[in-house]
Amino acid sequence: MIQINERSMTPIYEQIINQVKELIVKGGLREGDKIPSVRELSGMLLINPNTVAKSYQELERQGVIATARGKGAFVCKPAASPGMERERGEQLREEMKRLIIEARHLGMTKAGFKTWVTDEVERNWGEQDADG
Amino acid sequence: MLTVSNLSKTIDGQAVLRGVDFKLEQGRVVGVVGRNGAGKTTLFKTMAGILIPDAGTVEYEGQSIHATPSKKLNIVFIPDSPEALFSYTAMESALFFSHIYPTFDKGFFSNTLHKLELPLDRKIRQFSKGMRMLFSTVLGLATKAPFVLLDEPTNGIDAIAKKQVMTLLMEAAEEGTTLVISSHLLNELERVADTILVMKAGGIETHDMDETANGAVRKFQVVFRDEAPASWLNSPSVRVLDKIGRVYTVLVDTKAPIGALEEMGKFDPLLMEHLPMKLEDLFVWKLGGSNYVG
Amino acid sequence: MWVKSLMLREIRQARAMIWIIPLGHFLMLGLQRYNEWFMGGEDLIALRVRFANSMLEAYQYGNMESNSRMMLVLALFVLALIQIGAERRNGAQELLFSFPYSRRSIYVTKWLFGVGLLAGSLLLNTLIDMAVMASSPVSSYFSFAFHANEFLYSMLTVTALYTLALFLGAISGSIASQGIFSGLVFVLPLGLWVLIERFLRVHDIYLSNGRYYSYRDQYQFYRYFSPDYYLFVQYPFLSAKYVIGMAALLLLAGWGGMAAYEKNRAENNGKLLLFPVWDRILQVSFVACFSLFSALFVSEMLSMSNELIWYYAGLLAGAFIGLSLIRRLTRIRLKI
Repeated sequence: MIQINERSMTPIYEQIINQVKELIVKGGLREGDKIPSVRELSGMLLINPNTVAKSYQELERQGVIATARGKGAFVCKPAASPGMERERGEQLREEMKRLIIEARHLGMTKAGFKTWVTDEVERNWGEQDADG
Repeated sequence: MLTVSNLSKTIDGQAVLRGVDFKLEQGRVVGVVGRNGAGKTTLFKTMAGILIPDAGTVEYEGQSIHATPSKKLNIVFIPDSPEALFSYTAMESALFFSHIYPTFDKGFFSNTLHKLELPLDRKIRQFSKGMRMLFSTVLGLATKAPFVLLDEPTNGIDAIAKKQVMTLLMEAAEEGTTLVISSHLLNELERVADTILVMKAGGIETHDMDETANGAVRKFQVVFRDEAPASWLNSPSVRVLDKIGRVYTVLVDTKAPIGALEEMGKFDPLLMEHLPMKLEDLFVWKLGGSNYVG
Repeated sequence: MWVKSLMLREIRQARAMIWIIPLGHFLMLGLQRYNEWFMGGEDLIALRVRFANSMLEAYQYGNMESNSRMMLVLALFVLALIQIGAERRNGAQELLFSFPYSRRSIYVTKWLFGVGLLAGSLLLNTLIDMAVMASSPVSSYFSFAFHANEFLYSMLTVTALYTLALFLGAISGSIASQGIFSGLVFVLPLGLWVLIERFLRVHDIYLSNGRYYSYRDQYQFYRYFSPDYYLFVQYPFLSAKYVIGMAALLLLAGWGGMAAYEKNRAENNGKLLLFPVWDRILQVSFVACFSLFSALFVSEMLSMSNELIWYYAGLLAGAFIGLSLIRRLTRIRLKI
């Protein structure tokens, strides 16, 4: 379900965050699904539980998951926390800007880049659009 | 909190431990690395009270475990072979330990052994190496001691048993047990440890794992325009890990006063790529031999 | 001072001894007594009864008790090998040292086990002996005082020697060297005396008139260091000097053993001596004894002609062989 790439520049806790989000986007995890506890995940992936806990904390902060005492962690409704939504939306926008600058540096054309974007959207957008 | 202060131990004329200092907090996973024969086992045995130090102390919550043996309830040493228990069965070992450690969790012990499909009533002598390691680990963890020292716990055991051992350890870590693991398997340690103790020349350096990711020492792949600048490559802030064709893989100490990083930039190299630093690289940086000779 | 969980472990570790020692004791005492007064046919028994004209004769001067003491001592030396020597090589000692107990309590627990086992065996077998005597043809000579005194004396002497055995265990690095030192306890006093006596005799200084076992010779003070001097004492001769000697041994060996065990350097397990400082002394002593022995041997073999020359020849040969032997032995760090 979650694969950690040791060779990557991204720190492990970030990889966990990203992959959980990716799973949700791809439909592997749906709203209300239970995700493994910190204990279970650290045992499965053989990763320091503090690292896993850190990812879960961040995911919770971003409103992606919610933990219920004694019951575990569950995937949230996407629009559950609007403040978080806005923050993430801004970050996403920033990142898009960065990507565009990078593409220009590489010498891509505007059309070429747009084609790329369309291709990736087709491939990775997933089945269901978010609500609203 | 486990504090080791100025620990020194000489064996057969060799100063194996020379003024070792470090502190371990509760709930951490600590990896201990070093060359073979660097003294990891000696350190562990001294911390567990098996060996008496020539100087210095090992203190649990401020009390020396050598002066106050009852404090050893809080430190369990899991050796690489449970020789002493060969004539016991698993259940008998658990019973024995439960008399020694009042916090011993017999339920956890038998449940876990059952889950791992290890027999409770066969003598340990008859277990395979992997089974022995699993047994020792479960026994040690069942004491619920806050500090558990493991000497190369995955050495020489098959991949499945190895994963089982590591899973057990992660679950214990999640509960707040501090694990001190010595290992040569750096990629494994990297995932699980948050602190690394590097043993070198009888001493210990403590490294926070966050450091290796984005800390003072960084790893780059560089291709220089003209001749590779030998003086820069040989400077003490730079260490060459690899050279393939004209591509150098180097470690650069960015915090050193000489400003090796800036110098690299000044050479205006064709390629300069920041790579993730691995524990193995830290190992080489700290414990490798002489500098690169170009 | 002692620890219950450790005691359970000691019991488990030496569980064979728990029945072997009382059984052996019985074979040396109760069974012998029974043999004497109940076996062999009516005529033989009647003969023996006729010659038993006093309490001492009925009890054969306490010879059976002396033999029993020797057997107990030997058995407890083996126990000491199990309790300390064996633990050095199978990792059990290291495990014990990682436990939350002081070295002193571990040592005391071991000692108490041995002493307890001894007391149990003595009590049991003395009672059996008393029963046999009381129902024997010479029951008129039954003496409670005899049994009681023998019990106490045996308790003291065997405990003292067991304490010595544990002390040897505490200072030896391996089960092999502990075994060797244990053997030396019995052999060394007489052995040394023989070697020294011969050395002096060859130089025309006479310590004895050649009969080694005459107790009237004033120079035979090696006897005081020989265990059998204290073990094989007939009942009427039991006196304070033996008691004091053994009590002194008990205290010295007890204190010494505890101190040595507390300072135990587990990293030296496998070596000859636990405290390598003594290694040099040991080596020198070994070479010296070996030379003296070989000198004795050679001069004994060729005692016809010039004794002195052959003695020295033997001495030099022994020194040479002894040195090479010790060099070989110390190089192999016996992990046994």
